[in-house]
Amino acid sequence: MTGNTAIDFLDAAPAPRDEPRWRSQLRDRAWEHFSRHGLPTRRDENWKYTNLRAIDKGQFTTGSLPPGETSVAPIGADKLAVVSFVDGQVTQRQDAPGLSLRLSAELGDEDFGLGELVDFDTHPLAALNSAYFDDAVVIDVAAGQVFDQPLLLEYVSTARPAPVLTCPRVFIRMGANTQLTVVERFVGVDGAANLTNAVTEVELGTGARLDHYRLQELSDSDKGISLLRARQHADSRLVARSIDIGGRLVRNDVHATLSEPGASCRLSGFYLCLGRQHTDNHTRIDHDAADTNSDEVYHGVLGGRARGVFNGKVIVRQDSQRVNANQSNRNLLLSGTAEIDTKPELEIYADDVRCSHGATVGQLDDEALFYLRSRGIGERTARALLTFAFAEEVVRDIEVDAVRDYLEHQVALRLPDHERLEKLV
Amino acid sequence: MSDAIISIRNLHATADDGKEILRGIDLDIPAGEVHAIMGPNGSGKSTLAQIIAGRDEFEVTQGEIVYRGKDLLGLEPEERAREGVFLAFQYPVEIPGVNNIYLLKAALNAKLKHHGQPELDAFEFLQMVREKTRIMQMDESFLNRGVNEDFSGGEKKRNEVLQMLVLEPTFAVLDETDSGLDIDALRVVADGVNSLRSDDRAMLLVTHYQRLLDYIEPDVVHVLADGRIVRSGDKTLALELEERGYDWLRDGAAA
Repeated sequence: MTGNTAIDFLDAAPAPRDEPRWRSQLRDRAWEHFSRHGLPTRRDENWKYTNLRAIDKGQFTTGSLPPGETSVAPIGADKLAVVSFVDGQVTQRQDAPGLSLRLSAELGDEDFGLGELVDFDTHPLAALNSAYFDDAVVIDVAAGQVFDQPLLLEYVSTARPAPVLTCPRVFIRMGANTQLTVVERFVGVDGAANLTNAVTEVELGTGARLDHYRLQELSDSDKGISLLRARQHADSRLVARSIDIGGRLVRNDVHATLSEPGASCRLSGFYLCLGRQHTDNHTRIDHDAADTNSDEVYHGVLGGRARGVFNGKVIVRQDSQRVNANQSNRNLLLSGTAEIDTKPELEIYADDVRCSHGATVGQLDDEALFYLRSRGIGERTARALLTFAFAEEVVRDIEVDAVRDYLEHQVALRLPDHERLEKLV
Repeated sequence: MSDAIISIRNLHATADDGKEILRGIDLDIPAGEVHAIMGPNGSGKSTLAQIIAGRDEFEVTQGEIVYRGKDLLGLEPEERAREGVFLAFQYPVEIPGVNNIYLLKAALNAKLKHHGQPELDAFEFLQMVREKTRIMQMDESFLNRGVNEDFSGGEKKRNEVLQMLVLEPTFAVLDETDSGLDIDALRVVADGVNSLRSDDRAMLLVTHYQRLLDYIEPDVVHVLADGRIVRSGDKTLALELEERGYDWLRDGAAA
């Protein structure tokens, strides 16, 4: 069927099927967009540093396939609910009493407004996702509902004879004064070489708070693309944490619109890129109302011949007065051949605004290194310790203890000279 | 002096820019003694302290430092520490992401291992550290914070002395540990330092002010000016300096 389209990296165009009207409409609109535009290229300013040729030259299977072999270490947290996917197929589902969690097939003709927040022009790969996703997870938190334990959505990519495209899709609608924690975990089995292209759409009602975690532990041949798209109403708060410690080619976008006064968001991220890994984080915070606040902290550790990209866009609209927006991106280069492109991008049209941004690229601090050595700690251990500490500045803020402990361990395990940190985590 | 913990002979050192900062220091500190080095800003006091600890931004161009019979300058900073040399920093570094207690444990274990001794078990270690924390009148919550992270100036200085109490060095250099302390904190820090005084240890206090020496009584006071020790005496020399300043000594040195 590839002959019908200009999209050569897919085995088939999305097949029309027996499905609700809202789904086929979204599919048609998305496919129309994607088949016309294809993958973004480096001529697109937003994709200047991330080349998708490795995907374009690949060949991905799009149909439903039986899940591959998997053995993934679990995260030992007490969970509110769990949905696990392996190569796009649901393999485990555990519902929570009181929480409305459905797969899109269970929605019937009820049009939930899924897809309304996602703009294909801003993020062309969301069109690819919208054309192909099967079992979207739809979560509807009723006004006043507060959940303490995290909801886990797990997507496993396995080693297969031919790579597959999977399109995880999540829609979270939070009513007024609700609280929810969602952990989305993308994990790859050794040897997996698939393309995971995820979209998560979130509507935060008045006074709602969402803690969203994206943990990316794909294999070193996997490609991972993600979009977190949030619209925030008055006094809502989004805390989005993004941890990338795997993947061969990774691109993450977070787009948050603070659409009413009192809304605030915090975006934090850590990326570890070694070998020939490429990890790109693009964030876009749109202050579309007065009295909105955002802050953003991303730390990256890059070694080998790895490449990192950080682009932090902040828009403050003309009538959005009394806005605070802070951004910081710090990078630690462990080798002379690792590279990082970091760019703040501020578009400010209001005048009563406090914005700050800072980006640093550097090596370990000599003073700190000497301090540790002067206490008897060997140089290589001191370096490993300071590298871990740099990651830990972001990771330690994770509020779900089991997730934090797990990640501290996983981060440490991947660092050079990690055996010297044995007793640390 | 055969029982000297540390002997510094004709030590010359230059900074990165080639400027000579130390111009022939001679200093012996016998076991059991506490010496103080005083002197105006820029006289080389802190440079001497940093060189003893192994900071490589200064180049030693002449002379030697013998520590318990060993060539100290031939050792890496971590080897010096494991051999019992300790520097309380003038400006302790903040290391967010490394817990204070982790650093204490790693530092102590490195030293024990170096001497072929078994590590303390977790319980013994915690008991010991808690006791030292009480001596320094520090809240135990400091142990689980990042090293010096968001500590006040005084808290950083207490933390330096806490590390010293845990590591029990044979030779400790305290670089302006008194600066920025109010009188109560000064007393706590001095009590901590005094608790380590013993016949088999030596200490070097680097300070601007005589005030510290009211609480930690030195056996010998040296005056450093322009990279040389220009006068040594007993503790009354510190009082004299407090009264007369440094200029009379500098003039004397030049003459």
